[in-house]
Amino acid sequence: MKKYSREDLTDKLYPIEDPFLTGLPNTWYTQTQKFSDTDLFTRAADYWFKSSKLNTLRNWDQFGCVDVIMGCTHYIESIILKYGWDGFQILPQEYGYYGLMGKTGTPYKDLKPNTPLIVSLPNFSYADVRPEWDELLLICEERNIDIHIDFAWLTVANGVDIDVGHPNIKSFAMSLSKYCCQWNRIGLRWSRQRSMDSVTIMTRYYGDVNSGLISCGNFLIHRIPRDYAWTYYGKMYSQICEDLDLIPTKLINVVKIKGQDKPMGIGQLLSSMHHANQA
Amino acid sequence: MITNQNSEEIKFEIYLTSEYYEKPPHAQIFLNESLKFSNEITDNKKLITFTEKLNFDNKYSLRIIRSNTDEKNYNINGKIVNQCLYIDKIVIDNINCEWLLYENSYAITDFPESYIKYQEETGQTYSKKAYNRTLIFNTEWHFNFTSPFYIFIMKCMGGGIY
Repeated sequence: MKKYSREDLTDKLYPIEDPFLTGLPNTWYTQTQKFSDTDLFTRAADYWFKSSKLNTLRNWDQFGCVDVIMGCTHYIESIILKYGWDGFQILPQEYGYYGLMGKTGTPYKDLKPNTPLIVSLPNFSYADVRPEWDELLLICEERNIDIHIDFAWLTVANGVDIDVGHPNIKSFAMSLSKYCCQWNRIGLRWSRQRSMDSVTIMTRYYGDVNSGLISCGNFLIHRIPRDYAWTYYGKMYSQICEDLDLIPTKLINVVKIKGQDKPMGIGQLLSSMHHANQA
Repeated sequence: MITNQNSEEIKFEIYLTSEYYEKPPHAQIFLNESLKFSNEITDNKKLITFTEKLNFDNKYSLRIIRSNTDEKNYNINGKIVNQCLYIDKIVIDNINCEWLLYENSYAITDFPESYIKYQEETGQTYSKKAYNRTLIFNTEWHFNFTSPFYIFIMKCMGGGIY
């Protein structure tokens, strides 16, 4: 077993990148593949995402409109395109995408009424659902704020239990990207009701487009077990936390050091442990 | 796809502007037979909003009944119009419907006798039912659509998967 120390933790929160996940593109590119249409993929992926034994999304069945997205960033961009750059709001400590283009977060108590909110859950900084979540829901209810949830990190989470039945939650999205699948960003959006926007145009107006992307998405979900990260790395994660006196979180690639609030990356260490074990 | 919905909640935003000399135009807004607004329009860019549950596959008509003008309010020969109501913008489900209005809206104008007489005397034609969003006379304006609204839009574009 490889020796490790806290020096192996990283500031950046790298995902798991083991030979199995990084080998998938090679398999895809070098073997003959089957075509998958949008409908087939949507049903299969819907089942795949819902098959997690580790996390619970209560009232998921209220979101009957399911559309293919090109990763959660496409989902975000679809909302932004519909409401405009100044027509939506985010909270502090959000996905870096917004900050790169100058969007700053609004503290939850200062959220503007009647302006949609995009929020990522679990939040990478807390490595959990935001602590103010329940209060945030009340504020959104009082101020008529629609909530759209970016569940990008849920794919590699464990122990998240969230009720999406709150009426202000209008849509949410998940993707495969956190399983080292950035090379083929694909996922699903679930909405209470479908409206005209970029995602709808892509999947309902253009229809069977992106067949390469979608066929590859189908290839991926038939090879990656839904709870792959925690199933294969959960024990290792717990052992490292115990050995290095770290605080485990709900994200497989994130730990916290006792007395410090900053999340630290453990993804590279876990990946290297896998490599070492295979050697 | 995987939907078992049969209705949707849709927000309507109607922007009206009035111009008048003495008395303002009056507007009533209906969705089918349901009255959503009734008042004089005294502002520029007056915004009227409401949210309605629409049943899938049903037909809907957004109607604006513009009234409160009469023969005294305009002078045809001198081309002076003392009262007008403009339909500036219609936003449905956060979609600006500007491009949909030309094909799917019409106005039925209640032309006054003096106007009709003047048009006939001068050999000009006029149409009682036409595309029009500058409502000088008492008018009933219609915008017809179906639910789901996003499918209505796709149909107007001539494509989509229903």
